[in-house]
Amino acid sequence: MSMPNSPASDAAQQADHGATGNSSRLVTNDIDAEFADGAAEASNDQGETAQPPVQATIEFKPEMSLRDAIRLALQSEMARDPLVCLLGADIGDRLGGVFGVTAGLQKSFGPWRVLDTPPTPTALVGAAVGMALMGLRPIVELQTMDYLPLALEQLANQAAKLHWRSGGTMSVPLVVRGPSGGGTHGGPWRSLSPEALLLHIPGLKVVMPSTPYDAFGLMVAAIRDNNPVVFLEPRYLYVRANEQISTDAIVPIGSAEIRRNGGDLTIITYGPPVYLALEAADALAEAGIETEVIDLRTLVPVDMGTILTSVAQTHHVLIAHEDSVTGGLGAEIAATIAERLPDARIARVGAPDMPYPASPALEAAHLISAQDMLECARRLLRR
Amino acid sequence: MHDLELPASDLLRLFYFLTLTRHLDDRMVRLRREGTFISNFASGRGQEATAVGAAYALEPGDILAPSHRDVGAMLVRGMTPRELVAQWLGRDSVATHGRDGHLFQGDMRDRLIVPTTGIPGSALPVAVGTALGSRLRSEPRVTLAYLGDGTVTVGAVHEALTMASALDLALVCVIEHNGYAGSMPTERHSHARHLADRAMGYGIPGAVVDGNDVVAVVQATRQALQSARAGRGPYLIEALTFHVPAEEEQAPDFISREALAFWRRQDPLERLTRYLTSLEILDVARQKDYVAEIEDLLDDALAYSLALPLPAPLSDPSLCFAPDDAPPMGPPLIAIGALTRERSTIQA
Repeated sequence: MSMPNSPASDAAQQADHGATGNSSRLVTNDIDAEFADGAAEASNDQGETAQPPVQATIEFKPEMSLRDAIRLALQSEMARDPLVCLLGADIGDRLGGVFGVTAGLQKSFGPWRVLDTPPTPTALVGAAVGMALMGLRPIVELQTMDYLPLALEQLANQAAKLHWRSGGTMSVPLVVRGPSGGGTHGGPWRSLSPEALLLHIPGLKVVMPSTPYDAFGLMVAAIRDNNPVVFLEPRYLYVRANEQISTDAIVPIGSAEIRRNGGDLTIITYGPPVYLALEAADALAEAGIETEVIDLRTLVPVDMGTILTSVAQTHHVLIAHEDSVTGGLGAEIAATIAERLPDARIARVGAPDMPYPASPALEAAHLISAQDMLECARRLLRR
Repeated sequence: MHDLELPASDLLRLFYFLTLTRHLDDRMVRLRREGTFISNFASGRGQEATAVGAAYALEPGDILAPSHRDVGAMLVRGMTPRELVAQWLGRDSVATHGRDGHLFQGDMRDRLIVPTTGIPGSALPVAVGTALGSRLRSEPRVTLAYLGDGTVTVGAVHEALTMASALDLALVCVIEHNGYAGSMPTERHSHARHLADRAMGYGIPGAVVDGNDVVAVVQATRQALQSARAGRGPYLIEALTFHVPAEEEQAPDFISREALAFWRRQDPLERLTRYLTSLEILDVARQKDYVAEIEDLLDDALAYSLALPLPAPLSDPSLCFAPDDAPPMGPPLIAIGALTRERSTIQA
């Protein structure tokens, strides 16, 4: 993962992952003035919000950011189904969400369907469980996934277990969404990748899009799913990823997307590192190595079919994630590949096992890069 | 004993539920001592007036969020001894197929019972959600949630009361104050005179009630429900009670024998029996009829449960996930004011 204006992100800007037929691009304008250091996460000292102005009602445009694609999905599902509702701290029109994802929705749908709540993560997720039991389809915003451990009790003990322990008679359709991962100078409190905490809790689904197209389609699928879905929004890509989306396309939960085809090496990743993997694949291609890049999109349940089909062909697989290595999603995927395809050579790239650091100098070293993937791939392929 | 009396039919129904709860509890304790597997069973003996009384005050469309000792509340709400006993015995019952014990006794379509968990305080945020859901559905339902005195120390309870208060939700919380959080006496974890004093911090009404006086509990809860239903936000009731085992040697050593003796004299079933006898609503013959009926019901529940097979081992993780065609949750949508004021079909 690269810093803004770094060579890596410049390269990622040109990355073509047209497997969906859409061209997505990363912009490298200096949005850190808006989002860095939590500046956008609350009103500043002058009482002004630090986000760019947003339209009250978002309209479909040929090309939109990942953030706007999520907002459009929320808006269209709320318009379609009166049982869909939003709740969270600061999501109303005073602030519109700390990253502006819910901006304007309260004006359209009223103060109860877009409900500003006190900053109570446990009560929010628990309330969503109760609302789901009353037939609603609530969507909870956590201002940052760093708050997720606070709400984990309700996710683990209430949301995840209810269908199973009710003998299948109850279901808890709800979405917990919010910014996830780093890359925006958020330091140890605004950069958490929580996915490994979640994948060990049976009964939760977990998704993380890397493109606006998928962000829209996965959000629609998550809202319509009859289970609790944790929707991880890559904060690094909120306004950096822009592409043409389709409001007709539902991206099914549980299906990965092959972003680039190749027969020599498989790179499995998700979220912002997808762009780094495509960059690494370009560099490997120059050395005659054809790389298949799989964007998982859904982390639970992971699409092992697509993974195993690819690895059966390439026999070499690199699993990369922004999250730290030990006990991460990569470890689980590696173990499954090793059981099913014992001849495959497997390597992992991830952050070191430590909290996410604040200083940009430390952050740059903490995040994985295309170069990390490249070096790992060469070792793996012994070239 | 009471400023206001309830109609005799209500008093007799309360007597029936107190007796049923007591006999069911005693039978489970006896079975467990004899070595029968009983899952997740927490005896509520001595606290029946709070469990039964508060739930009895609910209207049919209201929502119950019981805690782990509130079998009496579940029975009032229409749970049957068959359903409960089959769960305790770990049978392949309709409710959970042996996956959970009686902590799952829920029904969010008809009887409107939120299943509790074994995690103290975990249920209150969910109860906030059913209250919030009722608000979004524009329905005059109130959610009644039970808490233990230990549970009020849990962070989730603070968040839940904060949110319920901020949003003026129709939520009534009954703290079943039985003096001990596990082995810790209340005065060791709270320096407040009453746990209900916490209401002041949330800007909501609070009340203390004699939790062993079932009529007082019904009346205090009705007042709280009326306030919540009128849109005045959540309401905190502290019911003073005590867990008293059937035999003294069953009580843990840390509980003083003096306290046990005191609370045994406050036995809620005996108090109600004395009251009804003094009113000549109940006599010995009628009391015997009730007990005989209840014993038959419990014999049937036990026989039914023992005849159920044990569940087959589980290996399919997809059991954790609801299918796309899962039926919608929640009671059917109703219009404002459409909740019937009639009692449900619960018969004593």
